[in-house]
Amino acid sequence: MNRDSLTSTDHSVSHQLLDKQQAVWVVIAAFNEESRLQETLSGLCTEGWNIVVVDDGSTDATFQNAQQFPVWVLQHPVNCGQGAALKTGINFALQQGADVIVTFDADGQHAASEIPSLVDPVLSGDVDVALGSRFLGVAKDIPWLRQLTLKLGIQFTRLTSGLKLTDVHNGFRAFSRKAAEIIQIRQPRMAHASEILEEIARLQMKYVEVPVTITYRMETLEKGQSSLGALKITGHLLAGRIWK
Amino acid sequence: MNLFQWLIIPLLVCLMGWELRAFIHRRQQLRLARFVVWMLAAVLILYPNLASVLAHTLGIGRGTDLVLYAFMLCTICVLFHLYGKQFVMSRNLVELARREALRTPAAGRGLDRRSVHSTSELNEQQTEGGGE
Repeated sequence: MNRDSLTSTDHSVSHQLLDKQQAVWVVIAAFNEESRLQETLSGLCTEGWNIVVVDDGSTDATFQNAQQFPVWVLQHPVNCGQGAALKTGINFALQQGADVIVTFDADGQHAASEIPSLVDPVLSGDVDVALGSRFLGVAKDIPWLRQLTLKLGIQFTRLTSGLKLTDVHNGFRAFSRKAAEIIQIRQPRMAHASEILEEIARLQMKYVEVPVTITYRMETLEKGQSSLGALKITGHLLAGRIWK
Repeated sequence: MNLFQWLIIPLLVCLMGWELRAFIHRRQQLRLARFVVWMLAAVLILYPNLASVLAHTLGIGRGTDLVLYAFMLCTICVLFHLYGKQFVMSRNLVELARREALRTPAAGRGLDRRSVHSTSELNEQQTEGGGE
């Protein structure tokens, strides 16, 4: 974020908070989110975080709309998938010296006000990764089929990775710099969320689950992955293991 | 030999020679697998009863069924191979897109561009640092 403008316009912000904000980068992957992204960025920009938006080959005005905000905008020339876009954003944040990297959904499902509670355990050095959990927090208007799929996913993750989590495929998470450097995100599409959990288990990283709020809306549910997408994700994970 | 055999066998022999030559020069195992497939096809065309004998031995019944099953298995293998190729190609495309995105970051309105460096700038800095 613009350091000069932040210090000159808000003198009440403590040095500690300012340092904290400068160390944290929020990565947003966006594909055809021209309308919802504006709302998301409006909320985030008032908080003063460093933000990088990765436009994943959108065919609408996502790229142009993102540039109306004090954020960095990267653009994939073609649609590569959410996992690929997040990896691009994480690489960019690492190049800029980020200490903590937060992944945040573009569609307004997450609450910007909850970023501090997510990054605190990582900034303090207690853990390598903080994972948002809607089932420890609030899942507003979650459809029953989505809830059932997620519960099955939690059991599947416990079996495959050994991680005793209360939520899976939650895009709201925070990584320490070290974790972001060594976690390999090879899955370009939605399977990256499972891959990250597998990496946390494989690398024996310290993690914590933090209660977060996820707000479901009709339009995000229509655009988001279907509950049957779980089968596709399993297929992608399997393929990723065969063709490394 | 009948007319069909006269037409097909020379073609298969040419294909076998081509695959074998490629295998010897490039050591590609896929070439060897294709050589074996052409060879089996040539043998079965030359000795049609062999398929029936093999089918009876395996308990399948007719020779044509054996050929059909073998064809299905080959098709599955080819699809698996092509999916793998597509998977790897997709991964390469992602890497290319990522490099392009990192090379050309765009600063939004009101952002202090000086605080952030592009990949090429960082590479230049590292090169200069290494040279000192």
